[in-house]
Amino acid sequence: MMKILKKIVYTCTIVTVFQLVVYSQSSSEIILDKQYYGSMDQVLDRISFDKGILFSYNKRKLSEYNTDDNTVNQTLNKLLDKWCLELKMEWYIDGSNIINIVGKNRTPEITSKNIEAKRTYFGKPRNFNVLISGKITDASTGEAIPFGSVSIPGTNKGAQANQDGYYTFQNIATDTSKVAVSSVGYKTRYIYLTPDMPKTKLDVKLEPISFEVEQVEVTAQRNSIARNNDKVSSIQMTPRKLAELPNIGERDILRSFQLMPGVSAANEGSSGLYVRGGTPDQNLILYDGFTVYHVDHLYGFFSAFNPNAVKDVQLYKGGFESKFAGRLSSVTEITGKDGNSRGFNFGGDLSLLSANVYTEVPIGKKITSLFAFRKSYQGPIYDKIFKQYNTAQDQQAVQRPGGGPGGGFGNNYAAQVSSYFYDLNAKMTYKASDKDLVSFSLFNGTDNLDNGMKLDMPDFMRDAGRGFSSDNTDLTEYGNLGASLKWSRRWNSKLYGNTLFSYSNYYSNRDRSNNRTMTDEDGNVETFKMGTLESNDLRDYSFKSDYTYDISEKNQLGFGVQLTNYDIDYNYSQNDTSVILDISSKGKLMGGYLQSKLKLFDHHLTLTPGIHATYYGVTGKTYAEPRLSASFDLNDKLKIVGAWGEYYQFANRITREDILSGSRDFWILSDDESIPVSKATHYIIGTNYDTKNYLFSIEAYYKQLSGLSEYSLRFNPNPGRRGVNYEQNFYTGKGFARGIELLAQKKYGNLTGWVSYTLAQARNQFDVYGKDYFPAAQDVTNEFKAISIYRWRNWSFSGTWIYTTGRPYTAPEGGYNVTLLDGTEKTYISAGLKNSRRLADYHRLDLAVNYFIKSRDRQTDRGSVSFSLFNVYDRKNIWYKEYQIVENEIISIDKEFLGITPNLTLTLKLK
Amino acid sequence: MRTDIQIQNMMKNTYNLVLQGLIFSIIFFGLNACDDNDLLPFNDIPVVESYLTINKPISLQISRKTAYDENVALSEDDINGLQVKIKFDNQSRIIPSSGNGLYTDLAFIPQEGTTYELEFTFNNKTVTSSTQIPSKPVNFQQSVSTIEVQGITMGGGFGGGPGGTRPEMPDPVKLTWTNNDSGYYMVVIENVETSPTAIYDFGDNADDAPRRIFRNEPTQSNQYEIAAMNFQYYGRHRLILFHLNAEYAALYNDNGTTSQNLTNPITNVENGLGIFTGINADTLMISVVEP
Repeated sequence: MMKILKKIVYTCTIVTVFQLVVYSQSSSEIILDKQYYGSMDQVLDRISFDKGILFSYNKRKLSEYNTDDNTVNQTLNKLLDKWCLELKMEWYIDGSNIINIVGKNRTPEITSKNIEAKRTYFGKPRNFNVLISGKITDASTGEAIPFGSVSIPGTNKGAQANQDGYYTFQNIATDTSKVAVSSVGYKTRYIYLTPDMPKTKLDVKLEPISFEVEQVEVTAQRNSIARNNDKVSSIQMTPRKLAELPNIGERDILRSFQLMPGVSAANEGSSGLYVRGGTPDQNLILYDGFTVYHVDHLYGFFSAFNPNAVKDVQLYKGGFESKFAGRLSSVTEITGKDGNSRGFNFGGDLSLLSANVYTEVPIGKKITSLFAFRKSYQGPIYDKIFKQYNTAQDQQAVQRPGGGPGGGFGNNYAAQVSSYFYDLNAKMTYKASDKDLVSFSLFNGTDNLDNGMKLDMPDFMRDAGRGFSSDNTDLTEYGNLGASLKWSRRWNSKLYGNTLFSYSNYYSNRDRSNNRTMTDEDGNVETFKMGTLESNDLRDYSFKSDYTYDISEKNQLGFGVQLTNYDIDYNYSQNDTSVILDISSKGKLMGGYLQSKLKLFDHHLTLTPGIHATYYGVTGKTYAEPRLSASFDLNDKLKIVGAWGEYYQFANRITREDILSGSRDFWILSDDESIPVSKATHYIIGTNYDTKNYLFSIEAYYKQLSGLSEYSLRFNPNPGRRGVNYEQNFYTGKGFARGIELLAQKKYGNLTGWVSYTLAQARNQFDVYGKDYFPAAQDVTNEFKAISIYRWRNWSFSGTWIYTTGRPYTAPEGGYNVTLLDGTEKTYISAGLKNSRRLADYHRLDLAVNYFIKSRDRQTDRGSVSFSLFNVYDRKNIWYKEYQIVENEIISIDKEFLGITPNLTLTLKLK
Repeated sequence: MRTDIQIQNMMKNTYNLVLQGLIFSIIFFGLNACDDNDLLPFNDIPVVESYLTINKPISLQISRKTAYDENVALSEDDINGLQVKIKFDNQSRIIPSSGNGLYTDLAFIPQEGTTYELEFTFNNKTVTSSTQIPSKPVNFQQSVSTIEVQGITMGGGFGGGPGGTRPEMPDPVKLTWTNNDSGYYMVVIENVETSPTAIYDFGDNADDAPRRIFRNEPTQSNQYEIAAMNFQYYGRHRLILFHLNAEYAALYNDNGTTSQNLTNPITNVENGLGIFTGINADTLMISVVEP
């Protein structure tokens, strides 16, 4: 006994034990009726004696601190708060009702183990209208889980965590309520609150769903237990398990979204999202807060986001909230992985297309880091896609300079230089304190497509130093470099803020030229360049500060400011002498927003009015974007949703038709003269019926568009002025898009999946093409998708079938030949009515088999072996048509998308 | 007997059914045929092709645009019966038809510096265009009048090897002219021998024979270099330097041949297509010889 006492004294920790008196209120809420003063340890001793409360603290440390604060009629918890603030310590009540006073950051986390789904407290509730707050994290990696849900099962009450995993849930009926915490891809966890749990630091860890647990991966956000999510038209996806879906070489986040209703799937040539009749440039893509301007890898076959580096993706198909601005159609919000905080991890994938490696290194207890790198190699799939897409483009090329035998030389001495794409992601997160989080994120994705040829006169053909060489350069390099530095602070349990500085650079360089070097007998070297040179350089410097303030359980206020400075250069020249276009545009955007999320009628109605206002420096005008979204729960299964909002877009992606080398895109700012600021108004209404196993959803939308731009560059010869032979035209018009989306999803069981159907229309009207509306290039009338995943032991089998109406295209109206002065004939084809015809319907079946490699204890996944078959029945889907005049007849040749293509992927990871 | 009657009735019913089916099919397909006969929109405008040059009688080729679709409405105007007028210096001349869409007037020789306006009516629209003959090129000069080009035999493979003949690579032929106003020029090089000898062995197949004529594209430069390897045949070559109008340069600008990039071709013919342009030229000669 003496030994034990001695030990206690040595550790300078004292636990005063008194008989526990059951109070009707929590021990911390006791009101003191005496004045206590002296050293802190003595004060606590006396309170303990008088009130029968148990304290645990470091006696030596607290004895150094004296207090003479007024304690009469003060609640103990307020005094403890004040003293801890002065002492720079923390306090909490543990499960045994002992008040612990500990050093900063020493409050133990409530782990999944001690909030197991069983009831431990059977007493009466002591507090009512309780507030709980904390952070939701991944139990295996320690990473924050964005946008998780906290709710009271069987009621409409709930709250959603923010991007950093923090949540605040107010006005829970009692401190003994049962709370469900869930997120897509994680097992739902139930917490039975007890009066003595630390309510403001209720951190919850969720276990990831292993492949043997039945839940479909890609899920409409509103469908499952996350019932209380009020965001209209949104889809959440966790890329962690995309491996289960069939893929062509790469698991692809954006391609997977194309399987959902309202996102068009008939675009093998673009991984950008065509959302509800919108174009990819009308979709705002945010990666850890910075805007990404280009998402395509390898002719658009893959998106530039490495699934190994991405934690969560949210797609808002329309009616998005006031926080987001600057795009007409939709928002894709991507959150990068923070990295494992529990230990070093390493993993990677190897497919027939690329190698992908990543590592997660925690540094100390406060820093996590992640580094991921992916690079393609010229394996069979890369070559197949490159050839398929490149041949088509190449056929549009005119004969290269140096015809005649040059062709022969070319064939003999041509050396094709390698082409590749890569992307890298790096992120470092520093947990500065319990309330502050600082993270730095870097992303770079680049494509280098080289179709060049080098022609060098062989040595034996050289004579006395005289030589000739010719490089046919056909190099396209494009990509995006972005970085953000974010500081997140949880000011208190009700106020949360994010402040972010970011930089994003989109670059696109094209060099399709012939570089000739001639060396004469005297050794004089002359080099000249002929062909097309093009470059677009967009730099976006942004600052954002976003806040949410939970005024009450019925009202959450969101507000913030956003500043962006654009600096865009575009240069297009022919040969190295004549500049055709040299555009430089700079502009500032300054904006702010305010929105309120109101819960009315006993949480049955969620109403989110808001406004975003932007001052645009180029036009000197302020643009106000009012928005309103609502969701109404008729009962616990049936919900009606609706949204309305106005949206402006200031940065536009313009397509320059290029007959010789394929159309090229470049970004440019609106000026309200030649390029108007474009505007959209969204109207959305829908309903969904959500049961435990199934989700049925219908949404209808109407989108009105104005200030749309189309660009044309026409040859307009001007003999007097060398090089000024082109005329730019910006055609402006308006449009609309409307449609109905249906979704039926099976969420649980060995067999999961969904079917979706979209009936849609996208029409534009440009005066240059007449007064009538014509189908927009992305208009697809019917779109049907069926996705199914079947799991059996360590295996999963999946299939996707897509059927869509063919896209509109412009057919020729007629054609003719003209004999040129050298006797050759040249073909000219005139265009018919804009987009008046349709390509054949698009359909495709993809299948995949996955075998999951488990750890020895079979608790975690260690990787997988996946075999995918793309376009199983080798459907000849048409990409576009090419026209030729043969014997006085115009014939059309179908250029096809990719045929049947197998792929094998091996994925391994340490943890 | 009853069975026979039954069979007859059955046959009658079948016949009626078939007949009804046939009538239905005829109506159905007939309607469809009517649908097929619905004419698709087609802007039937003529294609003009005419190069006006001094010392050559005026000549115009007028043709119809080839329709992409079969069932389109075409103008009933006869392409050989048009009233083709050329107006110049307050005069107007009708160019007679020579058949096959060709209109020529041997007595009508255009002159430099005069503006010629074309006018005729087709498909109820007045087709017009105008052009001038540009000035004759000035100071057209060549760096050499003879060039030695070594042929290569395909014996050891073009890629070289012991059997291949070692060629000499002479300096390119440099052509220069005066171009102070950034005008458009184009060089056409044509072998004028009756049966010239090929420099490079193209094998036995006559279809593989290279063309005897080659060119650069219209340029606003004042010089052009002909690389020795561009010559395909030995013998005398005509070097024609054309001074061109901008509308001819525009012909070299492609307008797209796929459904992704179709745009309407550039033309200087109003309510029509093609080219109506004046050209002028100067000529030099060069000999390509074996060393």
